[in-house]
Amino acid sequence: MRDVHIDRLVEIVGERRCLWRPHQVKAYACDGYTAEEGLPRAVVFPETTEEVSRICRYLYENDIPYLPRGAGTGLSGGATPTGGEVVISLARMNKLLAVDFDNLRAVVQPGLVNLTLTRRVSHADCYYAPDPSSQSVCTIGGNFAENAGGSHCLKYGVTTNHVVAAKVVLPDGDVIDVGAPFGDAPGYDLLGLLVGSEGTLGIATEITVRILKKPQALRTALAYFDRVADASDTVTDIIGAGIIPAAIEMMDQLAMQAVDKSNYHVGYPTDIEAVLLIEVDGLAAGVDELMARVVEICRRHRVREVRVAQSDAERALWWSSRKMAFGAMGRISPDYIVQDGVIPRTRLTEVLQKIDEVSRRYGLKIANVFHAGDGNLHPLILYDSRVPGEAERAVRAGSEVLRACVDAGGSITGEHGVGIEKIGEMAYMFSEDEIHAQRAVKSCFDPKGIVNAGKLIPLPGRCVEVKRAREIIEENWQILNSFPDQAAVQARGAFVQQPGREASTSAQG
Amino acid sequence: MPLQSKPLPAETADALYQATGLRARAVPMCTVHPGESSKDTCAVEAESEADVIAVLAYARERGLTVLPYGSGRHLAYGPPAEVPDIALTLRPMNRVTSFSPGDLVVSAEPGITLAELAAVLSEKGLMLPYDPPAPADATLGGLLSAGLSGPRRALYGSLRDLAISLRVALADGRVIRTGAKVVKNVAGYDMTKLFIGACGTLGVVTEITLKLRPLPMHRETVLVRGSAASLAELRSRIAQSTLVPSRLEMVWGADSGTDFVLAVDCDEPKRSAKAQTDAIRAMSRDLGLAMDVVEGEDADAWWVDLAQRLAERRVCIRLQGPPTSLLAAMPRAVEAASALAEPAESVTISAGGLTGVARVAFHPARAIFDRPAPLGALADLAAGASLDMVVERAPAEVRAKHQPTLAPAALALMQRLKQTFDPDHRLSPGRFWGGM
Ligand SMILES: Cc1cc2nc3c(=O)[nH]c(=O)nc-3n(C[C@H](O)[C@H](O)[C@H](O)COP(=O)(O)OP(=O)(O)OC[C@H]3O[C@@H](n4cnc5c(N)ncnc54)[C@H](O)[C@@H]3O)c2cc1C
Ligand SMILES: Cc1cc2nc3c(=O)[nH]c(=O)nc-3n(C[C@H](O)[C@H](O)[C@H](O)COP(=O)(O)OP(=O)(O)OC[C@H]3O[C@@H](n4cnc5c(N)ncnc54)[C@H](O)[C@@H]3O)c2cc1C
Repeated sequence: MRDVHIDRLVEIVGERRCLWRPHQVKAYACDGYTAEEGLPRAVVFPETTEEVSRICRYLYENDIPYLPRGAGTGLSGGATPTGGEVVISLARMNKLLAVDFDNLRAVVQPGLVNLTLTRRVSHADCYYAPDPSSQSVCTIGGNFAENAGGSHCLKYGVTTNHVVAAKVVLPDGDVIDVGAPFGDAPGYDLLGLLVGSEGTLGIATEITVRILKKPQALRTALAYFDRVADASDTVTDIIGAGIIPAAIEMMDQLAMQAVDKSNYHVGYPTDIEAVLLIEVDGLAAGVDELMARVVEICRRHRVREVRVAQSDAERALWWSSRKMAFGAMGRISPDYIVQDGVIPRTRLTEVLQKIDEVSRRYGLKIANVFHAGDGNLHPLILYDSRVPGEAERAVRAGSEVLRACVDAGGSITGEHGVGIEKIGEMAYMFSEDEIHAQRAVKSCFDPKGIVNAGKLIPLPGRCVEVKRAREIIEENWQILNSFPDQAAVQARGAFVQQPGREASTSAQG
Repeated sequence: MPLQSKPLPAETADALYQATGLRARAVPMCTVHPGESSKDTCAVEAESEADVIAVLAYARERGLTVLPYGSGRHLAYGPPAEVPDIALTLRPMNRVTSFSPGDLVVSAEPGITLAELAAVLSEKGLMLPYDPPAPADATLGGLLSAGLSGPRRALYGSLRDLAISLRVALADGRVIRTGAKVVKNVAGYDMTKLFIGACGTLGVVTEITLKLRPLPMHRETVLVRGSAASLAELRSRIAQSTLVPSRLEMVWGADSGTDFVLAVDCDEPKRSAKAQTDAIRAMSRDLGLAMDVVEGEDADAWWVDLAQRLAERRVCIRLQGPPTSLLAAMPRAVEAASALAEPAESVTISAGGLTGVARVAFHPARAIFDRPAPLGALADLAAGASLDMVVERAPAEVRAKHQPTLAPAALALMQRLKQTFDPDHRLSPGRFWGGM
């Protein structure tokens, strides 16, 4: 309903840049994680840092919860207004403010789309390195907040390694400059804390990033393995041989079947267990030699066939086949959940076996597509929500997969973030003291606890609650059948952006 | 805790020994770091995280302050600090606690030196691509807490990019782990960053996990001599090329005369390195510049020598900003520093042509100590060229007069963080900007 607060927001940004009618704000009920939704109180579209600051100051003074939003492609619910927040969309702040090619820095507004940045600097043979598969839509601000990764971060690093400075509007509306375009800023590393904070500590309104020169040359190979273990060992041995490829991606047979049914048909053999997509880059004089060594290592591990791309078109096909893998799941399963666990690379074979066991135990197929070089798994748990109980099983299987990752010394998320989706799993990974310390950081930035609350850091007591709830569920999991709706939404395929439904769920879902 | 009079360091040493069984003794603070106060402090060594926790618990109980340190080399940084009640060195904690070569990840205790770590890593063909201009006995924990970076930042980033997980003993007795021991992780806040460059003011780091890189198969450094202007032009051509320098510094020493040397390092395999050298040779010829090449151990030695020269000087100023402005300012930096130095030949300068970080190091002339702004000439130059200046190392009386100012909102936030993690201001008293 339009109330005095909406009037105030309209005073700041004007009628056209403030949406509040339910049918207008419905599209902002969730992000790429569609399991939970909530209607925002309003959606505002500031165009300047000054406006963002005035909005934040007003909302904070009046104890009105709010959250920032980029393109809404997040996969963990970071931009979902579960508490009736005012959504501050940065979509209209999408300018490339400055590029300094000589010193290799660009200053962007947060709403600039990742790939647009690369396009805008590519005439000078430059690019922005972090390349999430969603790069044609997601924003640099969203990348900043999620510390987004991509296929090439094994060699080139993730967002935090490429953002060097930012202008940030703090929860109460104060504006600070953090980081330094070159070198290090004096004082604590506030920039380091803000990157990956999922919009819970402040809103980045200007971001300075490093841009890189494109590599002189690259070579891409596709290697088919009869056995997953051989593929895993190949990855380890390539790195052991002192080669850091630009990317090493792996897909298993199920994933291959799915992508071969998509528009990007490669024609993978149907009787191999794993395919590796390996890319090396660097100076033209050396890449062939590097690739020759990679091929030799593949051979040492009983590769069935290894091919080096002979043309850009071939390379592009292989990459599309890999990058479209999530979407292609729709071809072999009505629904799926994507997980994002990380493990030490050397334990790949062992964890894949565990995932296989989970798959058998739950009677659900799990396709594996992942950044093998850095051990970032994306197990895709396939299910059919029309089959009673299957969605619940998929959720539990997913949770078990994450637990296997943590048990192997890894993490519950490598790039998609915690958001609301994995807030329960935080307790697998961190002790109560560790979560307490993170909560204390949150309070330093947001003492009122109203900015994107209920995301990333479990509220006090919640970890224990979650653990207890999990135990109860484990002992007696049929109980979930009594909440079919909740489990079904929980498990819906994350990539199909559902048109926002009018609904409001509590922060804890 | 009673705030009355603090116990004498000798009493603390006795009582601490009684309470924890750790060897403790009263020593003048200046034996921990030359140039510090001659007042006594209670010096104690930690051999394990349990020792650290015990000392912190004791300090909490008695209301004492604790300075965690490694070798004490970096204490000439930040505002001149109070003498701590307890000076806790972590130097004996120098073990590698886990090492997984296949994952390119190592965990070590904070007291390890880079050389000790390198010995373990090189056996497996790996390295930590980190070359700060610090003395050989500098500890990993000290370097991390100082947030010091070196020329290799150009390709590999700084410790901020390499450290992925820490164990930290907090002032309240809790021990937390930050991050995860895997190369990619976004679970929770990136708490690791909070402790990097925090000078021990937020917690005592007891374990550090780092990403590693393979040792380069080949090493090759190109050295081009010439005027600053012509080398700046060469730098721009290299930066605009697809070459892959692992370090790129424009260096000046007293033996260079009016010339500088542009050193371009390459960690690529041999064939690529040769191609890179040929490309730079062609660019140099085009600009009429003379070039040398050093390879293998000679290349390594060249960089070690540079780091040592910078590390030995009693004053080290960091200037940072866009490489183009930075390099352009270097001839004036030579002039300004030479006027402040004694002897003038002690001036050594290295300006990162990709990192945008320059270090101006020298031994200070006594005459400058009493000036209201001892480093005024450099500060003016920095301001004029829009560069930031940080005094990384200098005698206390010089440092005191050149502290960076922080914007009020950012400072307030940092003070809240300090207040949250160390409400009694027990850790590294006074060793941070803004009196944290
Ligand atoms: C098909 C698909 C593939 C994907 N592949 C990858 C991948 O390969 N790697 C990867 O890392 N991710 C991937 N993602 C996830 C997602 O794209 C990233 O997390 C991306 O960074 C989100 O950007 P966004 O602009 O959509 O942000 P949103 O989803 O709008 O927001 C994400 C979070 O950032 C906060 N936020 C947004 N803008 C700001 C700002 N300016 N300041 C502060 N906080 C802000 C929000 O509050 C929210 O918490 C994929 C998603 C999809 C749908
Ligand atoms: C840019 C720059 C340039 C420098 N150049 C030189 C130089 O040329 N020569 C030179 O001698 N020094 C130089 N220093 C200082 C140098 O970096 C230190 O030598 C390095 O930090 C030494 O390690 P250390 O073990 O002696 O650290 P220490 O001096 O012992 O400690 C450094 C800081 O870290 C804290 N600390 C140490 N260990 C821990 C821990 N485990 N947990 C929490 N806090 C801890 C200490 O409280 C202190 O604030 C420079 C520093 C900087 C930033």
